[in-house]
Amino acid sequence: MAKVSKAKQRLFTVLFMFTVSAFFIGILSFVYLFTKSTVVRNESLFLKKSVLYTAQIKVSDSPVEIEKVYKEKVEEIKDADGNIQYYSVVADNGATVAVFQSSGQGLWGVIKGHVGLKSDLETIAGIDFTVQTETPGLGARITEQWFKEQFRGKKGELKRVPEGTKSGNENEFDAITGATVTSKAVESMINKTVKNAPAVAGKGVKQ
Amino acid sequence: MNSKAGKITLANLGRENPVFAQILGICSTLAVTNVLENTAVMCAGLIFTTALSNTTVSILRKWIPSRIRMMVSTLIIAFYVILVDIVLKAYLPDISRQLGAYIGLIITNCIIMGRAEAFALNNKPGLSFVDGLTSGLGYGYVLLIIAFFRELLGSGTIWGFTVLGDWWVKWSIMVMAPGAFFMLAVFIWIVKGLILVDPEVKK
Amino acid sequence: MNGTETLGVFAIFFAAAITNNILLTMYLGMCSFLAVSRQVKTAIGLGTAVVFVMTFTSAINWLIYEYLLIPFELEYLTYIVFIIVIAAFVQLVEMIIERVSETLYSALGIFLPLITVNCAILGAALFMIIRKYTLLSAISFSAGSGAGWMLAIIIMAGIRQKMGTSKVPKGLEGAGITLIIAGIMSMAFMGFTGMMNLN
Repeated sequence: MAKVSKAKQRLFTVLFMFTVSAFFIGILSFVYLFTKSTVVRNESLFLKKSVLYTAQIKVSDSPVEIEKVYKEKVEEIKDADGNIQYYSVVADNGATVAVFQSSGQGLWGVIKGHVGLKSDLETIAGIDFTVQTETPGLGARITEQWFKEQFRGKKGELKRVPEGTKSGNENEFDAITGATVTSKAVESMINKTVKNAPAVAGKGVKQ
Repeated sequence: MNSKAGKITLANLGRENPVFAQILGICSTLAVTNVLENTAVMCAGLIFTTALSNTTVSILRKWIPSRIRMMVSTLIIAFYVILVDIVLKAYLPDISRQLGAYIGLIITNCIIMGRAEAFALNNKPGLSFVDGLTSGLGYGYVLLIIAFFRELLGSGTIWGFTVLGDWWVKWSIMVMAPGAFFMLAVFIWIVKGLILVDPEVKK
Repeated sequence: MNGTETLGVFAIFFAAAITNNILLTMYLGMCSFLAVSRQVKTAIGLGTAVVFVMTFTSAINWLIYEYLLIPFELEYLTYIVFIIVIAAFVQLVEMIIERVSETLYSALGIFLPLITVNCAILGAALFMIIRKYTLLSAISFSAGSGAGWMLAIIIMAGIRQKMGTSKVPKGLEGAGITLIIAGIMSMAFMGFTGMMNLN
């Protein structure tokens, strides 16, 4: 007698868990699919804005303007499989900037971004970060304007110096106090991207 | 009925505050409070999730088999958090990027699970909603106060606006892990030592 | 190649346990840490349970992520699937221990529900996904994180036990002083930063 009801209880437990899970996961899947295209579009706009920023092209936040300027000024150079190798951008002063994708291992996770190089493929036109999950208030400060802007015009094998130094040397940049690992990661990922740039871009950039 | 809700509210905000009285939700308190803006976003997310998950658990409470009640609570909590995450990603992508790292911290936040177990499983949906909402508020104001000081002392800013100029030597420790521990300890010290000392004396 | 890979796996373990201690550097797993760190004996018990659950659930979750979520493009369900796996695993282990050994159950059993909400366990699983570890590295990472957590809670319990007869200001008794100790421990562990270059 007791055995039967125990089996019944177990069955109910399993069924209940299954039904409730299916119900909630079902709602989630629906919402996810419903918003998928919006999310994809947001991502695409975000990336485009980042590429433009890296090449020092000013745009507002308006999606229409971003799309328009991007279409005019950016050419996506792809490889045989359709993956973007780099972006060839016509900067505000008419010169060409090659924007490369860059990534490195930070403290908490992967850091992704863009590194833009002038036509000599050595001088940095600008950098930007697209993905980072570093410590807010510390490592995450790499997304602050002052940190990114300081890279414009830098050249050579980059070296970190303490925050606040504002060195005149073209290969030194201010790290972030208290965010050693993140600063190190940024240093090595930019250096790596610059080093690999000629190989990725082929024999120089179109004039 | 009204006074019951009132009593719950007072308790959750004061004497039975999830953070300084029950010592729950500490992980997020430490991680998030070095930037005031992030704290506000986190608290909004937590209040929303706690209120709704409490209500949902309460609605289902008569059917949940006792063996799997933790799994079911976890499922419901995770559901609401991910729902918030998906909706933010679509309609408020910048905020989503700020909150993204903390999503996991909300799901495992002991406050939400704690209220579900301690209250929602044994009370009606209406009261459970109030309990969830006020627990979240109790958590919220404690975090905002801590964040205010941590950001001010550690970065010289309030909500990103520079308040203390270059003359202020930033207490970097405040932005890092140890600062969080110390600030929370000081907060508890002040509350327990000075404010909640006498049962008759209430501030 | 095999040699460097083994070294890499060991480095990940060491980094997770010491230099990027999941509790003192990443803030995960605080609630049970503050509540259960009064005595070394209970700390060892809870710590062992955490290491066990963390390592096994991370391995299971890795497999599910790699062979179920990715192929079917269900990555958005990662959080919910992971946490359910953890909750189910803990429930299962609790049932098995209850069946198998009364003594083990009375020693360890009470800790298991506490572990389900231990953010460190979900956190470790999510980290291994974000960092795109291989299965072996993921296991090393989770075991290391668990070991690190266990180390921290044992140290804390040891300190608190020693302080048993010290005079603590009234307002700081319990949670307050524990947090201050944790802060100092956290500062100490910060000294390890940069020891392991994971780049």
